[in-house]
Amino acid sequence: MTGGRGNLKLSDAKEGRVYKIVRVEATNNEFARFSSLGLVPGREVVIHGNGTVVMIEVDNSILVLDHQSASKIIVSDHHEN
Amino acid sequence: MKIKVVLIGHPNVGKSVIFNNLTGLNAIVSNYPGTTVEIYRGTVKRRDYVIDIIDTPGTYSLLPASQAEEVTRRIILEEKPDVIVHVVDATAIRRHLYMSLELMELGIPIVLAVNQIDRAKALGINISRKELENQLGIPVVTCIAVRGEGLEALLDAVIEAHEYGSPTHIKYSDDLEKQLRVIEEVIKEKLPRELKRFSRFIATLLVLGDKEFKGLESIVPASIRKILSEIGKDLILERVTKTDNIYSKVVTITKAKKTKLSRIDYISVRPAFGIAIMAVLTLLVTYGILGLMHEVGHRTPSMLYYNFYEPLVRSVVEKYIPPGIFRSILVGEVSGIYKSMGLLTTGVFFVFFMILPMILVLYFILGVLEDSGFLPRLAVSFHRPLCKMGMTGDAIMPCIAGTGCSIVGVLSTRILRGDKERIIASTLMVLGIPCMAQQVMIWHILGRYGLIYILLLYIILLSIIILVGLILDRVILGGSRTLLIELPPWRKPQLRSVLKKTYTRVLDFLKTGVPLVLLGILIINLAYYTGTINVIAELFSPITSGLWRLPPEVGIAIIIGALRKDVAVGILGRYELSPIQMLTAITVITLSFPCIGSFVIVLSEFGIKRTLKIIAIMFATALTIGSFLGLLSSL
Repeated sequence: MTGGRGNLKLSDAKEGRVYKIVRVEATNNEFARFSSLGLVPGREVVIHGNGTVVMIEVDNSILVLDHQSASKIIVSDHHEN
Repeated sequence: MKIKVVLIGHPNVGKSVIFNNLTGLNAIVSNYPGTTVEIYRGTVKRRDYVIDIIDTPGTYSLLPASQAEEVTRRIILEEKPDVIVHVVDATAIRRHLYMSLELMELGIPIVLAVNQIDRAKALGINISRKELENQLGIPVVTCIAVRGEGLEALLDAVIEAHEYGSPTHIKYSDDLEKQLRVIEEVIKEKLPRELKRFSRFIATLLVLGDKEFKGLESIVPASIRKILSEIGKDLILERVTKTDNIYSKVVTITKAKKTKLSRIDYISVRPAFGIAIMAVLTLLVTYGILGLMHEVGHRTPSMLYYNFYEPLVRSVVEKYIPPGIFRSILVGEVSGIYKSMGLLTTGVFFVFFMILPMILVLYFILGVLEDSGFLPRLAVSFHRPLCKMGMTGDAIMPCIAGTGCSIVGVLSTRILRGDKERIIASTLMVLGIPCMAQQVMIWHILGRYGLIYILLLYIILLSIIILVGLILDRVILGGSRTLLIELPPWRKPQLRSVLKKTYTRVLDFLKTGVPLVLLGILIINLAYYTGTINVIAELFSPITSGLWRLPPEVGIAIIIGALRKDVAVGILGRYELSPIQMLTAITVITLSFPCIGSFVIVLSEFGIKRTLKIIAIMFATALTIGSFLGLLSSL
């Protein structure tokens, strides 16, 4: 998906953009971990880098996650940074 | 009266700063019973109370993902604290609130310490302390821990919380509450007596899929057991909604958001480029200083030794102690750093002139790296390549600790989440990462032939690490490739904290390393004095001279390597070896066995079977690489 209004996985997100987390598709154990790091529905994420890993900013903190973990987080194209 | 307080919070929120400020110098470090995770205990007096404080490892969630986090939860459940102080970072308060709600399930009085309130203000994040107190129903204190501000108020709040009793836990929707109550009631029966008071908390763990309490699932009524996972999801979502509600009532933002990222952070996610820059930076700083110290520091100690130290010690000993075994043990039969092998001559020189000054500096650099926020960035850069070796980026942190000492390195693999990752990181560490004291010796001994040989040695070791890692990844099945890491802001390392770490590490070397260094020297001394050296040389000559093309007596150095590798390398100084022979000898000393200290730790962490496997890998590698280098030297 490229820049449309639809939902996409965080692992496919584009550098420099801002997205909103729509839902998390993970086990409760993983979801709980994501939650304590601010990766929960409703939050805005800024994508600072998407290469071998994904670097994002959420709730004023910088997080880095691998693509597999990032693919469990579904975001919507919010607006341009 | 006594109050027992546990400090809890995410990593890098300033917990330890608060702890250090409150308890001063009387803190005691110990391993938590049955684990190797370090915890700190200290005491402070306030009004009529003696407040015992326990600092816990940084923890993201009470649903543990690593052994360090497990310890935090065990401390809460087993130590029966009177009050929990939840330390949060004011600049990122929203996500910390999730954990506050988690902690409130425990039914233990809680105080929220909102740290770095000054930085939050500077970022335009204004937090209403009063409103936060109203919303959560627990005492809230704002503080600036690095300046010690707000800490007296924190102690008063602890006393207040202790006197007022437990907070009521948060209330979820009626359905969820009903379901949790059913679970709570049935598991309460089965819980051991000391855990009964935590039945509500354990009910929430159960619906979230916690491993430790999974056994209790079978007693939950089938109607609820069927939907356990949905209940768990609802629980998380309701907590998130509550956090968002509280946040919107408590926080007002007055400035446009500014990113916390710096240029170098962008670089650290770019794989090849990032690794190159990060690695070069680290190597330049560390080895630049090591090289400089070697140049400056090698001549001075030798000069001091030959002109003042040895003549003095020798004359005193020879005056009072008659010739014989005892004198030989103290000062050896002949003079010279590498020839005498006396405890007072070679022993003292190795420890105090050669190793100590340099590890002081190296541990200092390691402390600066750790406190600057550099290591998590390194973990990001190295995630991809380490994945190919069966680990994740997180493994870089124990490996860096392993450049100080494998014992510390193997112990810090406890922060890793996967078992596979732990065993691979530990194997590679004991196999191919020389400890700091050994590296110092390598610089002294191999450096005499030229820096190129030191470089060659590091290239050989690095290639072996990569190769063995690649193989282990294929041999050991399973493993996770997930990385979820927070990059803390870059920080100026605090001199006091770095000095404290350096001091602890050097003290540890003096206490546990030095006796073994001296024992190693004593064994060599006796081997030469009694002539046993010839028997040993003879016994191992098929390998030492046959395969590795080294003089047979060098066998003794390799055996001593099983005790202390720095001594083993130091001993090589007494033999006339060609550069390639020296390179071979040092390589096989590094590879062939773990030193006794790392052996004990690997054994206690992984059991005898896996330890033997690790040793087999090491010895096989040493045989192969040593033979190859031996061939080279005979060309």
